[in-house]
Amino acid sequence: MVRIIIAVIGFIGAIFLPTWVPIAAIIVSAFFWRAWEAMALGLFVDFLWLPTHAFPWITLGAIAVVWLLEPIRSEFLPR
Amino acid sequence: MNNRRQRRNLFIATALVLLILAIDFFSGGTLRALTRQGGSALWRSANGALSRAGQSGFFTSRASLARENQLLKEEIAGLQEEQAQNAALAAENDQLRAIVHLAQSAPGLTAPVTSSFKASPYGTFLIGAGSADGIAKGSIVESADGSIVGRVADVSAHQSLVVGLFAPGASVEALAGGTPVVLSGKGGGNAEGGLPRGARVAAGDPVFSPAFGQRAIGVVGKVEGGIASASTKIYVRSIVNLESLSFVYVERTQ
Repeated sequence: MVRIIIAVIGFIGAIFLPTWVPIAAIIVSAFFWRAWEAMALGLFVDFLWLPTHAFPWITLGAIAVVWLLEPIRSEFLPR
Repeated sequence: MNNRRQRRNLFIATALVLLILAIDFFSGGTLRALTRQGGSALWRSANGALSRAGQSGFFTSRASLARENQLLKEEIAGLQEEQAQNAALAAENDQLRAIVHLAQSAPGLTAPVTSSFKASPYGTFLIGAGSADGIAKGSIVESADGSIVGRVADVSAHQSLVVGLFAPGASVEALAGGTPVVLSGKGGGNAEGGLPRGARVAAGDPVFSPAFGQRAIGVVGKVEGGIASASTKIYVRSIVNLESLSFVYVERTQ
């Protein structure tokens, strides 16, 4: 449930709220779960705000965060 | 086992995200145009509802209205809604009237701003006009008083993405106090640049840009280092407060 709420806040924040809201949602989701929605959120932010042929920083950043936090999740979080 | 399956699913999701990114890239931004259309429609409806609620005084006068009888309450609410709509239309008319004079100096069109200014990490925003209205990539976007706001970066049929003049990472050639300077955008309508030693610039000086026909693009807000210093750093802010804009004027490229 918390995971869904964070994702919803992130997607709504991408449209209405300051930049740090979706970015925080990506980081928090990726820290606690194997969050595919964090990558989708990154993609959503880039699709909304980035010109077509520019470098997709937020999408690739979200992918990096999701995979870089994978060892920490595997080590410390309950399965 | 479950762990391994979850990891495999995450890998598939990653591949899917990259695939969508690639499809959009090679299709010239088809998918992001659809995303923007949806996001923009959501923002407009929410913004319209919030602005009507704010102007009707619903949140501030609710307690007092509750004390009145039901009949008067309904009547007042109806009148307030009407008044709020009139006020919103009057404000809109004022902005549009101010924009009219721009059309006489440069051919173009007025477009509504259809997104938030603060939500974009890239200093961009959406306007409700596109290629069907004659807007092209690179068109100059201005405020009602003719101040430069940015340039069109992406165009779809009825919507365009505008990159703010001082978007993060953007650089603009400018003249501050008659001295050439390259300003680096910092977002939020702010930029900074370095001037050579001896440049005479003071806070409040206007900044012009040859890239925009020598028009004013900002005002020097702060100067660090003086005539005796090795270099001078200036902080520039845009003339117009982006968040106050409801409409912009887009010059048609010839």
